[in-house]
Amino acid sequence: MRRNPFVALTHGLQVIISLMVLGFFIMLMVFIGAFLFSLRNMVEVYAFLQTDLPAERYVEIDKMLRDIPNVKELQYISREDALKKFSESYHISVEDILEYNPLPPTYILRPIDVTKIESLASRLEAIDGMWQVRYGRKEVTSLMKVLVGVQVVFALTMILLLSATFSSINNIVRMSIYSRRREIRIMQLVGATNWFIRWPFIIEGAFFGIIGALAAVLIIYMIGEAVYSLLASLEIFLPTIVDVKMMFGLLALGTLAVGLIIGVISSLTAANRFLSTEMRRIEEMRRMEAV
Amino acid sequence: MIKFVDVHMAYSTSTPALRGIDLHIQKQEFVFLVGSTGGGKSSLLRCVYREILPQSGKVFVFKKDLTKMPAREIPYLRRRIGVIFQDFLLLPQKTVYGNVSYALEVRGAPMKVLRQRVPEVLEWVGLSRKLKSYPDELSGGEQQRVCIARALVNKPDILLADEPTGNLDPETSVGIVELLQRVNVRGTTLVVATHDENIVNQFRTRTVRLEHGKLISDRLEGGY
Repeated sequence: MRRNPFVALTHGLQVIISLMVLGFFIMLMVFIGAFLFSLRNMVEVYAFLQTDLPAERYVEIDKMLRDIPNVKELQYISREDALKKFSESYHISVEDILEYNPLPPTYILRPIDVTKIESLASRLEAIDGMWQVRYGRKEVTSLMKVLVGVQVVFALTMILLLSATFSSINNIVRMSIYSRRREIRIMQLVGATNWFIRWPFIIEGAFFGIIGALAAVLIIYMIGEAVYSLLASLEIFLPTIVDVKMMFGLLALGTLAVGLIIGVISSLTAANRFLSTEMRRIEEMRRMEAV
Repeated sequence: MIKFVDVHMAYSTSTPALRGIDLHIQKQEFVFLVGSTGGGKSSLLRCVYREILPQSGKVFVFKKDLTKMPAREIPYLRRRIGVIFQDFLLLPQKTVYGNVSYALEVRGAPMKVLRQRVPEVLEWVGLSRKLKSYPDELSGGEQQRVCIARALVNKPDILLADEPTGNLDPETSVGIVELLQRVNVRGTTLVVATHDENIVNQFRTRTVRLEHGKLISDRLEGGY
């Protein structure tokens, strides 16, 4: 490394940039994940019953709905309650106009698995006495598809970024090993174990990983702060999907952990490769000398 | 202590380095390996400290078959063998003390042992006044003495020297071999690969000649 400070600096910057972009992607992934989660919680199926059923049929339907699988939460709204809510919401008295309550008894169902919402809806539609089943079918499924697709793309990009970070740290450590190959040979000759030889390089890799991650976290924090204050100054409404402070803390920890793990693995790989090929290289060198 | 049984070794199919070597070196022996360049002297030494493996035959060191030795045991074998090279292999950024203590450090020896053993061995090789010097401040003979001190600091049972006088003038060479002889007298088995005819003739000890990888002669009080 001492021989190639410029190359080492380039690799160091590459580590920081890769981890920084990786951090941004982790942040976006968390946002999208949280949004998807909240979206899933928001998905509701409205089941409206017919208004002219005999009383015992209502009891039967209620029992059937409570036994139905893939339902996290079931809420019953009686005709009276529905009318009350409607009147409160629109500040009008329906009974004054119609002289009767046109609103049906309603069940609101929140599914456990949103992807199976269609089968839940058809199951509800098949119930005798059901008037109508409603849910934001197209909107919900298409939005979810898009978001899942985006997450897949992000995950693939993250793998690429992880590979780039791995490769950068690996190159730094390989340069370091190369510059110390004479020392390593002496260590081997005086009886150092391979672990004794590996340790300094593993620490070096971990150091680069953590420093890169710290720099990345710091840059993300500064950019995040700037964006947040800009949006605040523009008085743009920011939905509170996640706790930003907590998310940044997790992001910082996650990026540091990723930096550390990649640093250790990549330096270990570089050291192992060197130690396993060194013998072959020496033999080759001796062979050339002999020729 | 060292036993070669029908050892064949080649770096490639066209250049055999050792051909059917049978050799037995007893404990506390002082043996010169002589022969022309490419004769197989260095390869034979490298087999002893298990840097290379023969294609066939057996190499026994401390009664252990090195051809069957797992890689994880090699460091422990090498802790009992000191090796000296023509090009010294010293670390330029470390002092004389640092270079010698390094051999103990890699074994995880405690600081107390380092403080006691390193000055002791440096005094023994005649470098007690050069503890703080760097290799490039020393003469060739002094650098070789540092190398010997590093090899001896672990109190090895075997000392291997590959052309230890190759870079030295005749007078200094004699001094180095005399030092090696003293090491041998203290009980260490010594194998010295050399081209130096004068040295071999002067010290008159067991001499093994290798040519084109074959053991040509083995004389108990041979000359070059």
